[in-house]
Amino acid sequence: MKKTLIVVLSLITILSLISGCTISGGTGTGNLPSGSSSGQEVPGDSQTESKEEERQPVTIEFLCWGAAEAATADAFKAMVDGFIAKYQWITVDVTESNYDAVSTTLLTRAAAKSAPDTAQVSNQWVAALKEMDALIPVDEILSAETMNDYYAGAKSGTTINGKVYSAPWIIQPICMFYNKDLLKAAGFSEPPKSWTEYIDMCYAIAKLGTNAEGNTVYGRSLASTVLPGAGYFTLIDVWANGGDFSDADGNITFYSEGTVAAYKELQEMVKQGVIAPGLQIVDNRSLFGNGQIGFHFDAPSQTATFSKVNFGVVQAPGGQSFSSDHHLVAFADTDNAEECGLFIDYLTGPEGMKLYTDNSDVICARHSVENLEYYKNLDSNMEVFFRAASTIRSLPVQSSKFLQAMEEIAEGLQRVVINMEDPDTVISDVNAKLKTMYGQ
Amino acid sequence: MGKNRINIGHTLTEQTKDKIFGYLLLLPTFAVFAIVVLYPIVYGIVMSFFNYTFFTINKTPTWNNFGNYINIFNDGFFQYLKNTLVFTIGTVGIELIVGMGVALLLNLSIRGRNLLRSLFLMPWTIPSIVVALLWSWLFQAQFGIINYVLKFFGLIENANTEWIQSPSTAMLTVIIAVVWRQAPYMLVMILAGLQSVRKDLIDAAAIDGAKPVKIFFKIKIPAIRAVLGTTIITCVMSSFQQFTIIYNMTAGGPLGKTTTLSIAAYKKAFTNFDLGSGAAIGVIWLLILGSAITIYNIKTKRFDVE
Amino acid sequence: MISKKSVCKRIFLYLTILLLLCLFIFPIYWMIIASLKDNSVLMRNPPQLYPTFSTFDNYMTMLGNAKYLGYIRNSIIVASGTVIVDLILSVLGGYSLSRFNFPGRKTIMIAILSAQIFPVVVIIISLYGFFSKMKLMNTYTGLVLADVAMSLPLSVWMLKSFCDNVPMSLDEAAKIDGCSRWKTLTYIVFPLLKPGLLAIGIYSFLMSWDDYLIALVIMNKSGMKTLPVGIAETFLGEFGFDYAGMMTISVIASLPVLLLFMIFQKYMVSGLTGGAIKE
Repeated sequence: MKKTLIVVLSLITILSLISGCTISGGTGTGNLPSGSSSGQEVPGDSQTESKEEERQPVTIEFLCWGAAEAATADAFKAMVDGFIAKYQWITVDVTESNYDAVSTTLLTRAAAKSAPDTAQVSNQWVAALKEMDALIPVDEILSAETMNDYYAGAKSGTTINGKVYSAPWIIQPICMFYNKDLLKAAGFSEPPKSWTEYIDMCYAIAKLGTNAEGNTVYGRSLASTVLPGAGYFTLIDVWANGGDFSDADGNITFYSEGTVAAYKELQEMVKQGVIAPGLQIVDNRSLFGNGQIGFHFDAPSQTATFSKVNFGVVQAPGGQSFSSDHHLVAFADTDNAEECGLFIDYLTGPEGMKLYTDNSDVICARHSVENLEYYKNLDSNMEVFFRAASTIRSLPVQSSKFLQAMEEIAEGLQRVVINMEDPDTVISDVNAKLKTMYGQ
Repeated sequence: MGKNRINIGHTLTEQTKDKIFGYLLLLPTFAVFAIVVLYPIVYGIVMSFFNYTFFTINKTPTWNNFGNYINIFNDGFFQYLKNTLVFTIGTVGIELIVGMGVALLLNLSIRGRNLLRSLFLMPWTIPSIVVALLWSWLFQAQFGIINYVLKFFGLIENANTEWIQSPSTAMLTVIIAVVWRQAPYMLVMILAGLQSVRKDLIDAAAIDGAKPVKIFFKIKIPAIRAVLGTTIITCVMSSFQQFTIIYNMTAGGPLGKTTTLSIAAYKKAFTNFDLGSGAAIGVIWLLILGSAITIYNIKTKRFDVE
Repeated sequence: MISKKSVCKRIFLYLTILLLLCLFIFPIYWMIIASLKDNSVLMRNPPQLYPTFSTFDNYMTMLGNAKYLGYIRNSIIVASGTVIVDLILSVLGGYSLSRFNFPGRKTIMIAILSAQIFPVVVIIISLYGFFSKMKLMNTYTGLVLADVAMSLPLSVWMLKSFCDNVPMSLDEAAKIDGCSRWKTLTYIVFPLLKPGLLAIGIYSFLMSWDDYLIALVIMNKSGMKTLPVGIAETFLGEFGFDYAGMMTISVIASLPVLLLFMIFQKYMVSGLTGGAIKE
């Protein structure tokens, strides 16, 4: 019996190895400079004169996280299918990745000269990629008409030295979700209109102790892991208290009364159990979705995640917020720059956005897209996001040091709310580090 | 021991043929090993002296003048070392106590020893990533069973105590998770060792009136010293190398409290994109462990690798 | 001989062992029952301590999802490949080191054993650059080679011990009977190594199945990721709060090795300990 077992196992393994080798032979090309085209397209040359019928089949690799996340997977499938149907000679090879891993993956692949053709990126990553000379400026592969169609504000964040390095796709203004049931239980019928009112409400909700299911209730959420997101989300608190990361000329001004006040407030709230410390944004989403948090700042795409909760959305009370934008980029190593241009134009334009909004709630970044039926019939929550899109402040993403800087801030946040150090000392330390980082 | 390595061939050419055959047999194995392990080690050691980052991976690296090493020593190397030592001593120590304890119990003649041993060995087979997830779930602040039980017995005040994200207890959680997975291995090895202790020695001592505790220390421990030594070394090296469980439970945090040398090397290389510095950590590690083991071998006169 | 006192002692002993066993096994029990529940039940205080067998939905969803099946498939392919290559290489290597005395033998042995001291993390760093150049990234071959190399030291060492236990006289007899060296190995010695082979096979399967770090670096295309990497990415990332799903995939990931182990544990243990115990 043992003998046959071994023989069977060996056979299975040999078969798997054979099939494995043939499969890996195919996917192994993922390492080579992207695309298995016949090499007709040359990077940077946007004009190739081939008629539609003479086009050789081309494959472009599109790296994204949207196809991997439940909230947007259907939308992405629809968009890619729609594009392939329209441009018959182009095949799109979708590589899915976790959001947290994408920026690292792109940087490492670009460094190893095996970048994909095009990718979904956060506007925060563009500067670092540009510095590695990994990107083609999108104004070289898109028509002037398309370029003018994009919102000026959205474009400006990734315009470096006069060239635009990424195409804005969707804007995600960060607004405040609030749990209507918890507010009512704490005696409030309306969401807060000012920042101090907001803080008071947080304390009041936390006093409720537990919710109907017996789970602990928190006033508000706070992401406090050492990830860039945790860092820049605190800018909402900082701005509300009058502080800022840098001034109009780019000088670091993080250490100020406003910033220290904001961090002191956060520390106090953690001490009083108003905030659950040490959580990532996913944990916060889960807790809010479980009806345990009163107030939570997040993007429009999360409206689907919180279906179990009776929630409302308002803009940051009395303060300002930022947006977390998704852009599209094309990589310099691609052999198929023109196809990438077509892809980017399709996804960001009315055709792609129609499919996107059929499946998901997102705000567009182009004027022509506003004419879609979807934007004429927004529900009250999405209406809030739509209106917020024009009043948001931008994050300082033009510097390639942005992500590192935000991580530095996140570490400072941990020192304040987990290690309970003195906010003044910590912010002063962080400020010094930021200044060194930015060479000031 | 084992002097059966006298060559089979009895004539000179026969002996040479034997040697060649021996080399040939070993060749594929050694080739794989050399390419995948030895070459990267040497390459890593060399690269630790150069400016080798993700951004220079395709260009010729520049000599760093020990820059990587200086960088590391300034950047908290001693913190990493301290964390690693705390972690290693914690895990191996607890594994030893638990393993020895259960092994002694199982060693007393009881029925179903083999079955029990297999059951105890179950945690060792659980994949590391599952161990990380499982213990993260057990220690979960909101819904974990550990908080519930501790609160139930009044041992903690806050029903939502953060264990994994709290600087003071993060290391403890990681140690517990790793011990849970590794202790069965220690247990099985010690048990096997105890089982092979000559019964007549124990009986003789018992007849001579020695108490069990004395028997334990004077007879059993020396008899299993070899096994104990090897197993402890294996566990120490395994703890130094431990990556999966720590990384996926705490990612080295909070505030670097659980960043061992292993985690630090990975982060330097793949988060800061500084491969040279990551390799430098490896070199220092090699020096530390290498000297420790050499000293151990000298002391126990176990140089011999037949 | 059987007195009341010794019976009491026996019972006490068994109870203690049982208690310790329960403590050890409890997390596994907890994992299994959590996988059979729904998130709404799991995200509630106080936790439900007893098992409910109402929902196998979690398993249905998980096994119906091509992404997870892909991870499982990849892990199986890599682990099986590792076992086969490892067995072949360790038999060749172990026999060679056991029987033949050639210059450099001791150095090679020390090199193989000492390589375990060096941090795997750093090996990965060099391997990353090296495999990229050799186009071995994101290939089964690459990962199998890496996993095999990690298992080789212990496998070769174990097999060498087993070979040492096969008396030299057999080899001599075979030679007298006119067997070539190769035949001696394959026909005479090899069959006697079976228990050792089983132990090594299972051990290397376990090591490969468990591997996270190497697979993380070598397989970064989502279609090629192995189970541990896939699990970490999904359940420590966006779905970090899908506790039911997390426990379900944990059970699925643990089952193969657990089963393998339950069936062959006798060989496993003797394999592990056989090398360490000096007769």
